[in-house]
Order: sequence, then C-alpha cells, then structure tokens
Amino acid sequence: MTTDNKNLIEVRNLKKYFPIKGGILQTTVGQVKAVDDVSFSIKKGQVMGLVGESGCGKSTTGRTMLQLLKPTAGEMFYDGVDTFKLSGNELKKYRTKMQIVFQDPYSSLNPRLPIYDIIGEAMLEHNIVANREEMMNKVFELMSKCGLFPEQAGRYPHQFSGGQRQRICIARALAVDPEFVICDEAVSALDVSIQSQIINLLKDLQDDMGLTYLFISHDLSVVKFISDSVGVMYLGEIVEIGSKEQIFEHFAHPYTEALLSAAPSFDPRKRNNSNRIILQGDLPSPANPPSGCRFHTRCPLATAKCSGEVPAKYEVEPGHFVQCHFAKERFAKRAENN
Amino acid sequence: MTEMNREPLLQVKNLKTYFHSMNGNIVKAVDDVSFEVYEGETLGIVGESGCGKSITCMSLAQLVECPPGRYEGGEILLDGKDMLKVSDAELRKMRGNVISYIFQEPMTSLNPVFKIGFQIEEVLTLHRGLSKEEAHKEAIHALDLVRIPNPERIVNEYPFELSGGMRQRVMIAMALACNPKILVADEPTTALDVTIQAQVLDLMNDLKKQLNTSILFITHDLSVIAEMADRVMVMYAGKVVELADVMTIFENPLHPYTKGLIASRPDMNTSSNRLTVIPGNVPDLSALPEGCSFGPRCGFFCEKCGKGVPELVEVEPNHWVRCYRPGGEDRDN
Repeated sequence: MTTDNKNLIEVRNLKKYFPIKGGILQTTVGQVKAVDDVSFSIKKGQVMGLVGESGCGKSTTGRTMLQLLKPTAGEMFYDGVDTFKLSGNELKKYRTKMQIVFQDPYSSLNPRLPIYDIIGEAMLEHNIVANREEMMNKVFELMSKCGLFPEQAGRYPHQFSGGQRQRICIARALAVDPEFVICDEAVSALDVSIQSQIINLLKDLQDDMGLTYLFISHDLSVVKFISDSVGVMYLGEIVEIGSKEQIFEHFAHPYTEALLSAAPSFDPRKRNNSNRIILQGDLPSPANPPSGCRFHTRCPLATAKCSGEVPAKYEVEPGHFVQCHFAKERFAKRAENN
Repeated sequence: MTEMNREPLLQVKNLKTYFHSMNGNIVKAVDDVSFEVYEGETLGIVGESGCGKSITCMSLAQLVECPPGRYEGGEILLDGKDMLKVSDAELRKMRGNVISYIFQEPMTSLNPVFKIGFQIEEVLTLHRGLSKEEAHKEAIHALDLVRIPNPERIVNEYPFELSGGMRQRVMIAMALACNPKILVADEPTTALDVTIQAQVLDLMNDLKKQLNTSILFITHDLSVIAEMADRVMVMYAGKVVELADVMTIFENPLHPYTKGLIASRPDMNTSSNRLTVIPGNVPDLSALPEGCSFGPRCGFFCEKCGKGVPELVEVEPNHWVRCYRPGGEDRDN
C-alpha cells in the first residue's frame, strides 16, 4: 500500500445545520445540527471508517465533504487546498478527485441510460477522454476491472442484480480517476455472499490504484475489516477517534463500548454474555440534543457533571481522542488491568 | 437435545409454494421444504434474499397471495391441524391465537391512522372476545410486557410518534397479545440500529422464556442466528440445504453454501487481508440450473452434481444436508 505520512483529506470543524421551518411565514424556528464540529484527517492510501447509528450524521458528513450539501461552516482540505473556498471551474477540477458510492444500487443508477453512458458520461463532461470511442475503451476497461463483462455495456440497470449494480456504481465513481472515494454504506444493501465480493473488490481497487477511502457504515465487523482508522459518531459529533486497534481494543468512550458489545457475536458460545451492555432508550432527536454530553441520557456512567458540562476532546494516547469526562480514568484503569 | 423426544408443535412436510407468472413461468419459491418446530425452541431460518425463507413462513398461515401464488403440495401440521386444509373461519381463529407474525418493517406494518392502543385492542376483541375495557387494560399490560415506558400514555399515541425500536416492540406486543404457541419473526431487527437490535433481541429471548413460545426466526444475518437460534435451517433457491443445531452449523457446517456463508462474513476477530468469497450470484428462481442449484457457485462441483438434484440426507444424527459431497467428500448414495 502506498502509505506515506501525508494527509490527503483533512476536515476541520465541519458543521452542517439544517433549518427547521415553521409558522405561516416559514421562518426558521430551529436547527437540526446534523454534523456539529467534526474534525478528522485521512492519510493517503488509507481507509477511515465512520460508524454510528442512523441519524448520527455520518452520511451527512460524507455528503457535505463533497459539497453535495452546502457546508454551514468548517474547512475541508484536499491535499492542502481548502475545497470549500473553491468555486466554478476550480471546484470542478477537484470534483473528479473525490467520488462517492451510495448505499442503494437500485435508486442511484439512472434506469434510462445504458451502462456505458452511466459510466462514461462523467469522462466526457470532465474531458478525461477526447471522444466517444476513447470513452468506450475506457468503459470496457473499467468494467472488467470491476468484475463486470464488457460485452454487457449496452444493457440497462434493470438487467443487473444488486451486486452487479453496485459494481457499476463503483466503476462510475472510478471513471474520473479519483484519488479519494467515499463509500456511503456501499455494502449494506447487499446479500452476505455478495457483500464479501464487493469488499474484496474495494480492497483490490485500493491496492491497484492507491485509493483513499472514507468508509461509512453501521456494520462494525465490516468497518473493522477494511479500515485503518475509525471514527465513532453520536448525534452529530465524533465521540471517539483513533486507529483501528485503538478503537476496537482499547476504546475508552462508553458509547463505543456499548456499540461493540451490542453487535451480535458470530460465535453461538458467546451468547448470554452477561457483560453485554444494553443501552436504554432511543437516539435523542438532533433537533434538540441533550445538554452537556450528548450521550448522557443513555450512558450507564452518567453523573450530574455530564448533563451540565460539555466534555472536551481528550487524547488518551497518541492519535486516540475521546470526548468523555471519564476518558482519562477509564483508559488508565483499562491499561492497569491489562 | 431433549426437544427431539417430544411431539413437534409445527410440522411442515414437503411444502411447495409456487408462483405462476403471466408469461407461463413457474417460480418455485418454496420447493419441497420440510421441518419441525418443537415447543419452546427457536428455529432460525437463514438465507439470502430470494431463497424462499419468507414465503415458507408466510405459507404457514396462508398469507401468500393466491394467485399468483399457489400451494402445490405438502402438509403444514400446526397444533394437530393441517393448515392447508382447514376452513377459512378456522384459519382466522388460528391466526393470532396459535401462530402470529412480526415483520421487518415496523414503519409500514402499523396502521398510521389508528392509535397504538386501538390496534392492539382490535386483536384482543376479535380473537379473545374481550370487552372494550378489558381489552384496553390488556393492551396496556401487553405494552408493559415489552418494556415500553409509560404504557398508559403510549396506548393513546399514533405510530408516527414512536421510534423504530418502539414500533417493533408494539408489533411484538400485538403478536403476543393472544399468547400464540408459535411466533414467526421475519427479519424483525434488520431495519433497526445495532443498539436497538440488541434491546429487541434481548426482549424476545426474555419473553420466550417467560411465555414458552416457540419462535421461527428468519434472518439473513448469521450473527443474529448465532445469538438467537437453537436449531438452524439454511435455505438456498427455495430448498433446505442444511438443517442442524446451532453449534453444528457454526462449527461443522457440511454444505458448501453454509461453509461459504460463514467464511465470507468478516468476523470481529478476522485479521486476514481478504475475505473468502462465494463466486457468482443467487440464481434466478424461474431459470434454475440443472442439477444442484448451488452447483455453478460450488467449489466441489462434480459431474454428478450437474445431473441430479441431491436429497436432504441425515449425515449424522440430527444433521441434515442436501449435497452429494458434504464437506467435499463423496457420499455413497
């Protein structure tokens, strides 16, 4: 893998608020803080996983990074350039470098276009190929790279199965030679046997083309398999971030712990595990997040301090940040026990 | 296992549910499926989309729309009655009282224009003949049973006021309202988040112990099966390919498809660089390959597999496999 120590992607204090309109005049009466002050960076050639429950803002983060949604505030550096400050042709140049693969391969392909147009359209638009003939050659090449049969390029999306469609979506994302690809729940809608095919394909493409991924998923085992670093999101905030080992082996945030223990184990012997933490209640609404630490309403460790005071990000070990009042003690205790 | 000595509560024999499409194709969604469910046990049915697991379970209470569906054969003995032969009136009595269902989508399986309380009371007045007041009390009790906070308030709320996890609890409350002997849960946690899924699975396990209900648990997620099931039935292309208790399925799977399914999941503890893959796609049910339907994707494919469809055979006690070469070795018959 081409890993050097340069950050390809750097997100700083990213915010995305959605206005809540109300009243007859449709004035803004409130805000949904879908993404609230999120910062992270991804090194070139690495994979960062972003996990969290639905509504925690992980997809919004991805979409805002690519400016598919207009950011409310923050900066997003691509190779040192703040893409949020670019516009017009400048931005267009950067659009080819960053691509996204969506969750649902059924709704993200235009049913009226043949596959070669779906994949090739962007190549012509961005002048990556000079003419249609060149485009077709590149489409064929991409299709075989993604495990599709080039002779099926004339077919329409409905003639393909879910897994094949996801391969088409991946080929489309790769058509403009991107360096950074966001996979937004890219394997969640697929069957188990197809899921592993697509994960392997993503890994192979990464090795071949030196791609950098942001892998957004709610499936912890998939994230653990594919990622180098992991961020855990809760209600619009990253509550814990670090390398894969740090998150999965010495996690310090109670939410991360609950999330990991809630994931059903693959081993029938481990059922009836009495150590399992079952969180009470549901995810609070991001329109009206709890005061202080946002997790305090469901946290088994919550004290009065938690509802009053917003915890700061605390670096428990190099590169491992936790947003919790008890992070330091918890981490020290764990280190002692080991 | 001790259950084996008892009489099964539900016995399905050679069930065939086919769909006849307009252009004359026959889709064998459920093809010669046989299994039993004993009292108080959880049978997990696992398979990919289109393998017939949902149709199998919907057939039990004749919920498959006919036409285009048609029950082409077999027997479903539930509580001593053949569900395919009973009259409509009797069937209506069985539904809810003996067998009831929880579906995947808690968003769409509740009626949006009626209050939660009314929807549960309706079940109770129709099936148990309770008066309105009694039913109301019983509904609150049912909501309490599924650990919904403030059941007195929730009965007067509409489905849209509840979150996904809460709605799924309401569905469970409704399904259990008449103390059915068997509960069919069709992907009940697939649409839920992990932490909510853990809550719902925990609740189902507790209720099972408390009420001694048998559960037929359908899912595509093997880790949920590992968590819930006592015995597991693996389906592929409308057929049962393997049936054994949960330990055997995870530790000594013999059908190449089961093996592949288990190997292809990234476990929390795998560290290898690539996943094992089952090549190819799930076959189209209206154009199945000749011979074993898994043949074209199978690593142990041999000449014999392309010719005949293997039978479901008991290779070791209580471990049934539909394969000519279980575990990759040739079988004698």
